[in-house]
Amino acid sequence: MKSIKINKLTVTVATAVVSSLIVSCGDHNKGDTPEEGIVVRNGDLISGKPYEVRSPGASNITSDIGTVSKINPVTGEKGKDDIWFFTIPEEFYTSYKATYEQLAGIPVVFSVTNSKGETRDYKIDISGGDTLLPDMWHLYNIGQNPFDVDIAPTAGVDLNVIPAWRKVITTNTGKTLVDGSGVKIAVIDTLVDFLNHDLKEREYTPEDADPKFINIKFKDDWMKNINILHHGTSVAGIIGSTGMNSAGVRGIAFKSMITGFAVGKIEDYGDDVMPDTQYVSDSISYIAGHPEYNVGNASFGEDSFSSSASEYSYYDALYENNTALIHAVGNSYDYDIEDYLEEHHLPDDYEEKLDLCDIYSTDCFFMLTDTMSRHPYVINTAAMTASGKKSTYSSTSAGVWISGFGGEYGYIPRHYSQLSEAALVTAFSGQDNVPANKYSDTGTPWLESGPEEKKYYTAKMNGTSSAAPSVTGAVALAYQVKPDMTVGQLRYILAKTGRNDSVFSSMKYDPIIVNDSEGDPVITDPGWIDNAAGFRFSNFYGFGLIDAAALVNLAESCNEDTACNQLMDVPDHYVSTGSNPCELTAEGSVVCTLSGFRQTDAKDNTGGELAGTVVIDALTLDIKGLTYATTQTAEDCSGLETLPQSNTEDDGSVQKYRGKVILANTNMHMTVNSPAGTTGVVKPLYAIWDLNYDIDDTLYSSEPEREANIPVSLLYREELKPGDAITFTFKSQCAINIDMLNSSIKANVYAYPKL
Amino acid sequence: MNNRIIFSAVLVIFFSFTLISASHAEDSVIRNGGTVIYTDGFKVVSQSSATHRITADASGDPRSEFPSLLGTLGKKKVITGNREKGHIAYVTTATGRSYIIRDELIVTCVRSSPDCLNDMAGAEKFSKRYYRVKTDSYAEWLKLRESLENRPDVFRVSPTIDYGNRVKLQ
Repeated sequence: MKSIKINKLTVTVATAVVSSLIVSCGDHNKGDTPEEGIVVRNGDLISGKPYEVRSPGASNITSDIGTVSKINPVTGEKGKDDIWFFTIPEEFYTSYKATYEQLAGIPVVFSVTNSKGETRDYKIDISGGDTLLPDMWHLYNIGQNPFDVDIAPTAGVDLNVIPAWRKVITTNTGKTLVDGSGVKIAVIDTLVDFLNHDLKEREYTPEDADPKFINIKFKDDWMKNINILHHGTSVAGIIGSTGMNSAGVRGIAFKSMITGFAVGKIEDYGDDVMPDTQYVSDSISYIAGHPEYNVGNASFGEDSFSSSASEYSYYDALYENNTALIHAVGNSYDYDIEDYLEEHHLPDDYEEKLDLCDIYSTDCFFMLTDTMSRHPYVINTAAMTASGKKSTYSSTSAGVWISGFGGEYGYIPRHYSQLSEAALVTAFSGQDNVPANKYSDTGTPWLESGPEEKKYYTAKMNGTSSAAPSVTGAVALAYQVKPDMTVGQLRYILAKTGRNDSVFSSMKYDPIIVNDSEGDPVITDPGWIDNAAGFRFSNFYGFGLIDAAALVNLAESCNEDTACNQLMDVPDHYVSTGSNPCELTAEGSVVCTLSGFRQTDAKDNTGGELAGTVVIDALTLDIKGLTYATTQTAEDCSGLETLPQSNTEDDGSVQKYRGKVILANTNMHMTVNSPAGTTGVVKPLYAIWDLNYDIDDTLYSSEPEREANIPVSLLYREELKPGDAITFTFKSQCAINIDMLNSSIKANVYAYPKL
Repeated sequence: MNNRIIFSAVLVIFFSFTLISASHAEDSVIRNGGTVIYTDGFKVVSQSSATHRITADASGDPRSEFPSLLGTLGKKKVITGNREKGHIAYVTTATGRSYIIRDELIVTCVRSSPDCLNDMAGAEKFSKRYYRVKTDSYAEWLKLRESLENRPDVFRVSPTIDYGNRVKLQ
């Protein structure tokens, strides 16, 4: 039942002949040697892993699409006797002409010529490698809209990961493609369900792992009772779901190894209640002591202001150990004020006062509120949509570094009024015989009627929780290429390769201008800014949308890049030392001119003065002394004059005062000016800020050493010369206690000598 | 009659334990202005545990059978009981803020002496110039902290504090 093709394809027979021999991936038919016909195996279409094509007696093999060669395009080695190699060229994908159907699989007709010159055709349906790959727009965006959302994805807006996967690198074991192999990733989150089909091969459990919080085995009833538990699984799924296994989804670093660090005890979860942060400390401590981890992912923050010197030290240690920590910046741009009032026991009349952010469509919450988000070397990640814009919820920040994909809310039933836009497709918690949780997966069209293998996946993962792992996955690929990459080098490469509004016009936005209480205009977000070092930055996007391919390429050539190579070493740390740097201006602003930078090599900060020009690697502003004056004139500031003396039962005076401070902080605006004249917003007016050092530390302080550093990314790689000053300006409705501010404010500059 | 005897005996034991407990508790409580530091006899429990009857823990410590509320830690309660391993003090301030001091001190060496605690038994180095040092008690913690801070080759000593904040997925 074979037929020989001369000019015309005879599909029926050819397909029948090969149908039992087709293997699109894996090693399932290893050793098969057909007497006749063809075997196509062990490859991957999208990542360019060459398929091994075997046909006994063949003198030549060609295909109607793609390339067949005797030379393995990855290793450069010639195939033995009857072995050829088949790949689809990178351009097929990077031209964005591939169709949704072609992502699911491509029919390829192989023409096999035998030694007699006879040619026979075999039609092979080669699978895309992972069932849900066509839906994963963050990996490859062709404008697919499988869930019929109102705002369809925009073709080309993706991680640009295909060229990264297709990069050939040389390792100890020879030439290989980039897939995350050898990279270890710590996912600090709710539990990671390694029983998920796509994660079971990715589990890495160190020998000394504490089973109390590391790789906890998932139990069926937990998922039934605690909706939020899927979060860690979905995060891990974005990073490293096994690829090319003919099922489910594909991670960005689909051969990386993952350890799941639980943020809390199962018994501390409740309905929409998260556990406390005890295990977070344990996890960070553990990871800091295990430098084999290349990357950590933290898609969480804390529910109120925190300041921990030890935690800050652990992040320093991660930096020293070349372990990058990727952190979600937060989802509070359009924060629900009513929830906040209730949560913080604030009076109802605060709703109007705290809701100005909503009226002006400016950021509603200042997210540099916990220690993790404030450390200058933690990589804060913002979220973008499938159409190349800031996700509506994604918080802005002076400390944001890079953007990943968080999408929007995904498929929304039509009876809701809002326009729907895609979320991410990723793994979901669930085990055999346990259906996915309907609450968390609401709207996933396949939940009720789709194929069985789709039940443990979701199309509704979103948030900066998703953006962070989309960055983590790409960063893992870079660590495979350059395992000794320092965090400083990674930050440089991210900043250098991030895609901004010059690449995606969708990322352009106008400055956001609001009116202050006097009716004067205040710019709460200036839009994109080119700093004096040539880096383009935005409080929305940081240095732009991550570009996995460019990231991997520059990681590979980092040592040849003078600036990148210099970042092998830990930077010098300078602090400003001038006395009374802050003063009240005639316009009512408080201007702090921070200068007199000295090295901090000694514990009393009496290291040498800044002797020559340095390049700023990181900048933080220590605002521990930021409090309000004992004389206030504005109506909303009354009550700040007198600190409560105690917090007696049922008194509530501290709570009331705390509310006053939150309101005062919210009505404060802070900007930075570099010596080169670059100006940016550090804290936007009307962004709620629960900083409360004044009552917790200044008056009653018995707590051990704490920190309150605000990172400022904008000045990255600008120069600082001896005698230079960095200026911070506070424009506040309530009078600031300048003496208190002067007593402790300082700028921390981490820098390298100018080459 | 027998029941009465048994009941009386139970009462005697109960009050004896309560007295011992109170005495012991005062030994491990430091008051300084509005700040109270419990150096022993405290236990953090989840809110659900605290709002329901709390049963004796595995140690059989009688105090845990008759717990009293000492304060809060975030949304958790702190009651009398055996302190958890790793917790060396529970502190409440006049503002109502409270926190747990944990048994780890993180030590940063000055750059010129990155191996500053290599000669110190029990000091665990976990990066170029960072060490972890553990203590068993609040008294030892205070003493160790002071001695470390006085070393010229130590840049900073950071206590490990747990404020009971909750994780917020984002």
